[in-house]
Amino acid sequence: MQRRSAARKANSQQATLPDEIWELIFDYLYARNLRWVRLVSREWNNLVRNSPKLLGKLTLSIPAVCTTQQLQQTATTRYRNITVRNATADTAPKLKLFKVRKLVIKQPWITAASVVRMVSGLSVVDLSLVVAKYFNYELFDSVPTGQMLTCLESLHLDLGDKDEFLCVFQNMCPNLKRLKLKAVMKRYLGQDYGAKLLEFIRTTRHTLKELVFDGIDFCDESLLRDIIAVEGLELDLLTLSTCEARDYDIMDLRESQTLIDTLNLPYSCIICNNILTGIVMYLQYITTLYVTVDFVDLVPILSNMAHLESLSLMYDDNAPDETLDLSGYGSTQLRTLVLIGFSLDSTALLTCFEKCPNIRKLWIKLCPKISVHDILVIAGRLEKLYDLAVKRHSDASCPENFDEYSLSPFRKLRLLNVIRETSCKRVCNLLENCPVLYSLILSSSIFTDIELALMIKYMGNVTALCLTNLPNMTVMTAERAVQQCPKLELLRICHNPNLTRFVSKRATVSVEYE
Amino acid sequence: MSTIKLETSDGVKFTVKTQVAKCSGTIRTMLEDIGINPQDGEAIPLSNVHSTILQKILVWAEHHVDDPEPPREDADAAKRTDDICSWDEDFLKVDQRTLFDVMLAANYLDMKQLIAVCCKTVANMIKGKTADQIRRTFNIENDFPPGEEDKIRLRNQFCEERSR
Repeated sequence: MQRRSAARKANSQQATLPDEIWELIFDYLYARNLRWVRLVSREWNNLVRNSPKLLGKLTLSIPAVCTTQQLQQTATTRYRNITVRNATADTAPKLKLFKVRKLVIKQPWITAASVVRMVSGLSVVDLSLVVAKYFNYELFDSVPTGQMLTCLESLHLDLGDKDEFLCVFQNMCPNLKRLKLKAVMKRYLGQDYGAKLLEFIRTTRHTLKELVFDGIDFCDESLLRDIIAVEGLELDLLTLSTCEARDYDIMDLRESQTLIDTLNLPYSCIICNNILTGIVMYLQYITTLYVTVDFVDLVPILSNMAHLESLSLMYDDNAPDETLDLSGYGSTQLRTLVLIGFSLDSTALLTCFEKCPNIRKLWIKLCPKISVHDILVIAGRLEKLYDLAVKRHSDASCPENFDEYSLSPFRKLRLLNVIRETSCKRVCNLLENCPVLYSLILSSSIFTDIELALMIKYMGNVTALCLTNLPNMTVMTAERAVQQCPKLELLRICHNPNLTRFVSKRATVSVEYE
Repeated sequence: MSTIKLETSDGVKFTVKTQVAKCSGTIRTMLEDIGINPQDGEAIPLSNVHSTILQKILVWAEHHVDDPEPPREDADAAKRTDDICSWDEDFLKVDQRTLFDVMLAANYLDMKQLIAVCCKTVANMIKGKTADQIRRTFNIENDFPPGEEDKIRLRNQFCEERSR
């Protein structure tokens, strides 16, 4: 469609690509990248606007006050992902303008009947209902029956404490694959509600593949066990985030749901050695493991999970004595490693990293016995590292085992988060070794103002800078950061007493507080 | 082992193992469906590809000739760009012009895997950048009339995009 301008650009000695290839490229981008792409040129903006595939990644938010004409005029009706806030009686017909695929309804208050009116007749595949608090049940009985959402595959209900709302969708979703329930309060998980949830799962069991529970307490009920035991239910994914669950339920779960490839266990659910050892034979295809443990002999268990891509481990003790020794573990599959609260030995960790060359995201938080210097030295060996976060409990010194090594360059590090690392020289040294860094967070440190000013020199590539709890930082240094970091776009200042009224002198830099 | 001849736009002839040449869907179709007989000794003309680029593409094809068919991706799933293998990453460490020429040729030759890995590389050049930085990266002129950019910016705010 834009051949004309493509040809024009070819004259200017610049290699260029046809639209269909740009479209292929843009398909690899997230919505937040596409938003910038649209602002690059008219040609690119049109390309995104005219591509149903690319436009499908973007979400249109329908404001409470707008007319049907306004929606039609701006050609926004091409959007397929819609968010509705504060819907009124007029919203339902407006939605009919769109071929809605994904619909998010955010309301402080809604009635069952109005939800059904809004979604009926739409071929929604993915429906989320986020309701802050109040629900109106008055019209509960007058919900029209016989409505079918035949396209609906994903249903997400975030209902505060009014969870009976799930019943509205009973027998309406013959093709549901994914159910996510959030923040269902414990008091509603009594026999009555549990029975309703169970009944819902039972009727959708042949299509249901993914279950996500968030904030549900399963401890006092046999609900989790009953769900797992539903005959014919074969899940691929089960997530229990911020849920309370019993060890033996999780054990049952693994035995009856052997096809699950992602099991996200809640941090709040502490898994002890014999439970994890007991279920490990069912975990061999698992790709994501997120677990709190109270023991450190993890290598034999991890070695059984050859497909693990993301590993998040948290230790359930404030003062760990035993050291987590990962030197016996290695996996080329592993991309994300998060370790929280373990005693670590730097040499053992280095041995492990040498066998995990594909780690892209590494977070080491609140781990005593390993110095920040050591973490940085060994993290530098990970050639593909993209996101590094290091957080320390206190400034208590640790032995530095890798004194003789210098930092190796971080070739791909783009996000860096250092909390409570005190040596200015070290941070400068580190920044010098991160050629492509674009997001930097420094916080809770006692850098002097001069030291901070020194660091700015090394922030040439940073586009987002977050400075939290740096009591010595002055307005002058913040101004210098704005002046001397040419690419800076976002400066976030939190808990800095000197900078409560800082205003950026460069219009392209936006400043955020808290 | 059977070979075929390819002739580039600048008249250079390449003798290539048939198996390697078949990494290109275009050549495969010519050989298998249209029934061009490689025995004739006549070179297949590739009028859209320059010899320097074909040379490079053949290096890639030679390295990837035994790759298994990639799994069919779910169209809705967010596509990864962090899974470029290190050989390809080094292979594509070239100037932008060459990269684009490789893409154009790969597109003409219908080499899906090579296009995909190039797209990921270019997508990585866009990720994390602002409009202005993207313009500088690809030397694109800002051709919005005054005010229109702000209008899109506004509409972008109107669109709430937080999907991952």
